[in-house]
Amino acid sequence: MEKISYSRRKIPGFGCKVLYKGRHVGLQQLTALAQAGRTFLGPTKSCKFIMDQSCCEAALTYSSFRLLENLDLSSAVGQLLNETVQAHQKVFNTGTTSLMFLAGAWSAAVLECLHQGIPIPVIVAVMSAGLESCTEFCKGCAVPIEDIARKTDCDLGKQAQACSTMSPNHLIDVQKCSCLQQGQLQSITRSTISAVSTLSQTTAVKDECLGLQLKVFTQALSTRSSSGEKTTKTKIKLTHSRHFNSKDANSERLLSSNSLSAGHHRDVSITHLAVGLSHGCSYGMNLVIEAYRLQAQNSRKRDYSLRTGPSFDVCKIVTCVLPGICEEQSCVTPGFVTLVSIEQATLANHFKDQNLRVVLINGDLSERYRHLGFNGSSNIKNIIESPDLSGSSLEDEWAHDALTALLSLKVNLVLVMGMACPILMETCVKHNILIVQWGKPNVLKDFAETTGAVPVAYITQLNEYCVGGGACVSLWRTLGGTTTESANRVAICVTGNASSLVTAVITSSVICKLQAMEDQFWTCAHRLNHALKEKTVFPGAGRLEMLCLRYIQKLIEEDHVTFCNLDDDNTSSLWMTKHVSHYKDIILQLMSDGWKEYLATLMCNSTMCTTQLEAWTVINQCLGNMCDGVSLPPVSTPHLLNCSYSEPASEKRGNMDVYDNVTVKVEAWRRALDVVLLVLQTDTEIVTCYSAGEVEELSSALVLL
Amino acid sequence: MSRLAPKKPSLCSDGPLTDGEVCQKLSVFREILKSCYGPCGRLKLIHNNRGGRVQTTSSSAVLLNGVPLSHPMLKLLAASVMNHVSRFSDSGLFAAILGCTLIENTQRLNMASSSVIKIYRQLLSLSIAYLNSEDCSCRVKVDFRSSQTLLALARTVIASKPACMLTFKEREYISSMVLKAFLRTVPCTVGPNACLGKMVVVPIEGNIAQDTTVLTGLLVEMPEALPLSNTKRLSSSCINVAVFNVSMSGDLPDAADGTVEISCTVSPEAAILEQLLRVGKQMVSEHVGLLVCQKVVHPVLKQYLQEQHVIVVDRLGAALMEPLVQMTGAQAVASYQSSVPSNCYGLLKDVCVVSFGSKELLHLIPGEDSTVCSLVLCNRNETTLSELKIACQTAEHVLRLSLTKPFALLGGGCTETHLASYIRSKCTNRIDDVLSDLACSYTEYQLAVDSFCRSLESLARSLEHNGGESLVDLSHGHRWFIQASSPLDSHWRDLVNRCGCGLFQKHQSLDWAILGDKYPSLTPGADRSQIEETTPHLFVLDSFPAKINALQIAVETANLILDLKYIIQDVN
Repeated sequence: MEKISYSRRKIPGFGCKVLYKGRHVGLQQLTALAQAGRTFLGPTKSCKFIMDQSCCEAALTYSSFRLLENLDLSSAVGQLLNETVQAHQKVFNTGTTSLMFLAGAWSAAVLECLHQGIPIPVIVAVMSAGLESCTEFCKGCAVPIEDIARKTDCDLGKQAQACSTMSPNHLIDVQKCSCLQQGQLQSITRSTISAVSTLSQTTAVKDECLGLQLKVFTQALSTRSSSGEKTTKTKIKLTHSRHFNSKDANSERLLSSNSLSAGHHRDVSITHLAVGLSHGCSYGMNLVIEAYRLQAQNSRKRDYSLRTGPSFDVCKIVTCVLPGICEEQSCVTPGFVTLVSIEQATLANHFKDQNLRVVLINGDLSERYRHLGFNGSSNIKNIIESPDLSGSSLEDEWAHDALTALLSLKVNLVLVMGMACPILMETCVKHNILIVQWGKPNVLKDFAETTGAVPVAYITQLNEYCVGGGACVSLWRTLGGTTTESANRVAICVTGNASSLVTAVITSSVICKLQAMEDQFWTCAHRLNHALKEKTVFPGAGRLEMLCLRYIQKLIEEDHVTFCNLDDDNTSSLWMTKHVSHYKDIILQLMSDGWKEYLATLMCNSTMCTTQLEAWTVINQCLGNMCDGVSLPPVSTPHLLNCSYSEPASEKRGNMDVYDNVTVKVEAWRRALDVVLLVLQTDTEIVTCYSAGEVEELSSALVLL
Repeated sequence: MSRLAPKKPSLCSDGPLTDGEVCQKLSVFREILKSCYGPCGRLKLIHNNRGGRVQTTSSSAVLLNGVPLSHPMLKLLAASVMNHVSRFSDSGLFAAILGCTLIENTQRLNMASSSVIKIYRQLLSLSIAYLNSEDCSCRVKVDFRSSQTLLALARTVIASKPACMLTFKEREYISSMVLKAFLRTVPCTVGPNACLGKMVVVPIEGNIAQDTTVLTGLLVEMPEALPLSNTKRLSSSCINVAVFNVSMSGDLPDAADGTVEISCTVSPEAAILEQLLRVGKQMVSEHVGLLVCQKVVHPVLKQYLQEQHVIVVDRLGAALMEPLVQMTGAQAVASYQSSVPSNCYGLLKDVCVVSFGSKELLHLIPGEDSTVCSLVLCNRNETTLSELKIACQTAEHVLRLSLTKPFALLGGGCTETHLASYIRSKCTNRIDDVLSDLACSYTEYQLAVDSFCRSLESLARSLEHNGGESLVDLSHGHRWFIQASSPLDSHWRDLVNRCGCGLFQKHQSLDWAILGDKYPSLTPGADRSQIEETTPHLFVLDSFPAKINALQIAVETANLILDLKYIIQDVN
């Protein structure tokens, strides 16, 4: 590698490295980096420890994106790969290991192309066209999830039986719930009325669901009604609350039990699909299935409301990590589980079974907090005209005002997005007001939707209109029924009215595993979410890659270059058409070897084969068998599955299918190739900030500028 | 307390170009730029060695901005190119490479720089005069009756940035979208005050390039709470819009150098909030349906307005203010201390929510014949998207420039080769007058002309990065291309296909020579019939005004640098 560098009066300087001279250094770096993620591939992963030698800290990683996040990537290529992987993680939350692996495998393929003297534009054109045509083909192989559901409905008679025995329990559950809701009716009515009275409006009269009490109120209100423009919000609230009408309540219970039995078949098929998408992570997927069940139950309860959201909503899932409790205690709970102090927990216990009035603060709850974008002037002097004898600080005064505001609105529960002032929290507990800190944005959003509270930035903004009702607080108990306490913090559970927000409580007695467990849970949740959203999945366990290999073989066998859109407009491509056909076979072969390596590593990692060579032999044999036509290969599915899912509930282990997400997979391929082709076309790396020391170090290779 | 340090004397160095180290820097700089040039150019990774963002680019704007140069001579060159780019967007690399090459070629001549400068100046005016003349055969007229020429202009710009990572289909699609957006900015009716509208690029990361669309009006971030269904409307069902360019976050006005003394009993924050709420009340009473603020709006005011069914959009940013004002006809209000005059409000036809991928945006729809439009630009990742954004903005600027001068120059290196052969042919015979004007000998003149033409030809040759060879045909003076590792015994005719710009196809009567070698003098025929006949969608076309200016900038900057005798640096 040649290094030419220059620097600006030695400190902050800039230098450039030549990446491509004979062997492409950037591509070599990419291959080397991607090697690190090999063991993460497949259902049986081996985790890695990353050690920082300077401070002896270590991190445990199970996934590529955490690996890259924790590495100190000094090279530009490494950073480019990290950027790509993190962007993919941000959008899809899964599939980063495939991306990283293929980036490595394909950069090795491109290096080989360069070695054989193939011009760069030809490599770029053939590879991107090859992948494009391959993904088009793959999309045709996607299986609709309805087909999977139908298949399982026929196949799994046993399970269907099991759930029919299960449904009465659920039914009782639902009945209990709706009774509870009727119990809440009183308080809901009251809070709605008060909301109406502050808004001073009349149109709500038209709503047939209104009870007698409301009519009295509206008659009183009609005299001072004015604009009538603000009705919609309240109106929606009233139409939603069908409990006002006792006639409907009965029929609704009936219907819900009907839909329950119908819905249970869907649950079964979801289980099957979810297990297929778990890719060996049964811990995370069990929690996800549980979360799905809870949300589905909830959406069934709301079936006749105007707004029928999706039955599985990832935005309505939060995680709560509790260290020091054994893993078996992990579970999914409706509502928002969080840790509070012991005093607050006592208050929470006292609030049990009460309907609480709730306000939401979308910032910090402290005197110092100012909204984003507010710049206080620095050149202001405060002048005290008369000495203040009370001795109260600004903060005390603010806390007093805040408490007064909360008390006057009869608020029981304050949910804060940021932190809350400790003084205020203490005094509030004495006045039976519970302040919960660190609520995530999606939690606040859900409470805004379900309780009718309007999030505000400052406590002074609060008025009757902003206060929501119907929230419940209880102590969170483990499956054994005990409360948990760690480091003077107790877990409590806050729920909105008929909210589908659920919390996955992730517990482990090994603290360093918690992060990985949380990651795995989210990966599983997003896999299921993508599958349900797209309504199709790919056959997994390497079957799709086998189809790709077969398809590329067919492309190579075809002589013409129709798959490439190469009637390009610029000069160089005119000769390219001629030479593409010449190089096409080599490039495509090398590209498909990338997939083969992926499959082979998958098989090796899952101990199906002991060596890469053995794996390649098996793959090539399968390819030979497939030649008669595109039929699904028998390759590796049972073997892979032996180790992929060890969940006792699924008895038909050998027969279980494995699925992959469609867009996630295709995008991972596309992004992997994008990185490789970007690096391929790069010849120089320009470094803009060398420090003085580095310049001295590299001075032999630097040209000072 | 500040310390006083004695001022250091200025540094003076003479003859910057005689310094070997400076020359080496210049040549590395030239190589970096040259390897970026053209559709097959190589990319550069720019990063700061500290884990910052990595930029992958081959465009001059990013390169010259992102790379801190230290030598005053290189800074001078970069500054004049950046100035050109800010005015014309296109042909930045052309100007920079030509400038460097001219300087380096002149260094080898071993002639007095003053006479070379004079000759270059004469050659520059000769070139400009030729390119502007009627019988110039390397330019085409932009035909506004069809989209082909305009499309070719846009396509050439977008194709010249390989870091966009577009496939052939995607490139065609994006070019047509840019053209569509440009046409939307042209007003339908020509009046005395007619002016071009604005194209605003809205980058969306993660979607494929084929998702790119053009929408009339502007797209802004979604406000958190949106009273869309019952927005205040005027009787004509239009929406009244108020636009503020002052921060409404409740800040105290800056007291400049002095300090403000305030009694503890007075809360300035509350006082300002009161003023804000007064403006809010006025907005509500005057039926404003949408309040847009360039900066932040105080949450209390926001809450109040949202309760009154007024949409509040804040943090708009300075870039969107001008198109918004142009689109709505509103006047940006710079103060909330006094009441807002009623003639400041603008009008919108409607607002609606549009979603691209997972992103939701608020679409402000203007009335009929508005010339403001948004290009929603999609590409797979951040790196390729930012490069595509620059390419699209350049393409749109090039299309705008074509309105000022309705010509386009042939691209693909053909203009450079053609111009070089024209200059060579003009400067061999009947040049006595010129020689006496310039006061130089015939040999000197020929050397300088050769250096100038070689610089132009080397630019045409640097379009190739894979070891191929460039040829020039001996009848039109266009650039042709043959691939590396072509069999040595074959004729040129069997290896070439079409010239760089796509105007000429190979035929029997043509003959070729290697570009950069000495080739027999030719008089490029004023073969204008060919230009009219060929369908322009095959052409590679460059912007006429941008390239002419780039040529001028390059030669004049090179002249300036060649003329440098001393560099005086203030080191304090």
